[in-house]
Amino acid sequence: MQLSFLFALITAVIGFYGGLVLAPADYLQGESFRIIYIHVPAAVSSMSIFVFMAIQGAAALIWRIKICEIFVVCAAPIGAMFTALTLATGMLWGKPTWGTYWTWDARLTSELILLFLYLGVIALHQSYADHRQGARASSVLALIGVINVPIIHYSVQWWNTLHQGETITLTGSKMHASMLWPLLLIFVASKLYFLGSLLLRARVRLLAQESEKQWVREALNLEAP
Amino acid sequence: MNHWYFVLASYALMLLLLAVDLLPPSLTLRTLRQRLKNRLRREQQKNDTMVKL
Repeated sequence: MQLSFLFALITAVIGFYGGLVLAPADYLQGESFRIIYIHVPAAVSSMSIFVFMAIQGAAALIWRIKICEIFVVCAAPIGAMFTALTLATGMLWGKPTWGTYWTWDARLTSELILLFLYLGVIALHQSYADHRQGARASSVLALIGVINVPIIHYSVQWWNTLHQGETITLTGSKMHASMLWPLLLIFVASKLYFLGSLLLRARVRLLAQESEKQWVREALNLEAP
Repeated sequence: MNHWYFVLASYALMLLLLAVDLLPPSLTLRTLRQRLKNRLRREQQKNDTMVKL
């Protein structure tokens, strides 16, 4: 957990230094393009975390694996945070670039729905007195809601949107290398951050749920009474 | 096209959201560990007293 945060911090500091200081300003967007160093990794994380939750949810429902239930519940607030960050930075980028903070564009609307899905998963879990039952209900919602992820991804191709199409694909990038490498580093940092935050939250939940078990006593370096 | 204030607002927002995401579980982990340790210590002391008696 601490290692994930440490490596996330190192890669983020180098990446943000590259993005804010070393990368040149965009010839069209000027300095405001630097918002993409937060917006794009946050957007990718918002979608990938939901896919992660759906996979964990499927495993939790099929095999009743306790840790998978915990991962579904613990990943939701982190995913919600990344989605809120995506929407907020998108609005801050939209004002100087498009002239408006918000438009009911397919990409923006589907991303907003993703935020509501995350909030739904959190609320659904909270509404159950029994943690495990709540986690299973949240898993079902994660499995249903994952259909929104390909809609977000392909929205720029399926509909005529204001949001730009893909800049970086698996085959190549339209970005200049001097602007690209900081973005890739921040991608790595966001994944490491997610891992660290997920493990931290899972640790808290496990300690709270399993406080009567022997292994918790051992983990706290205390002898059994 | 100089919009540094939008960039600064984005980075400030990111730091704020990261703090909101990280602080509550970190603080809960700390209190939870302490509470569990205290409880186990109390149980241990109670057990020791019982053995002496």
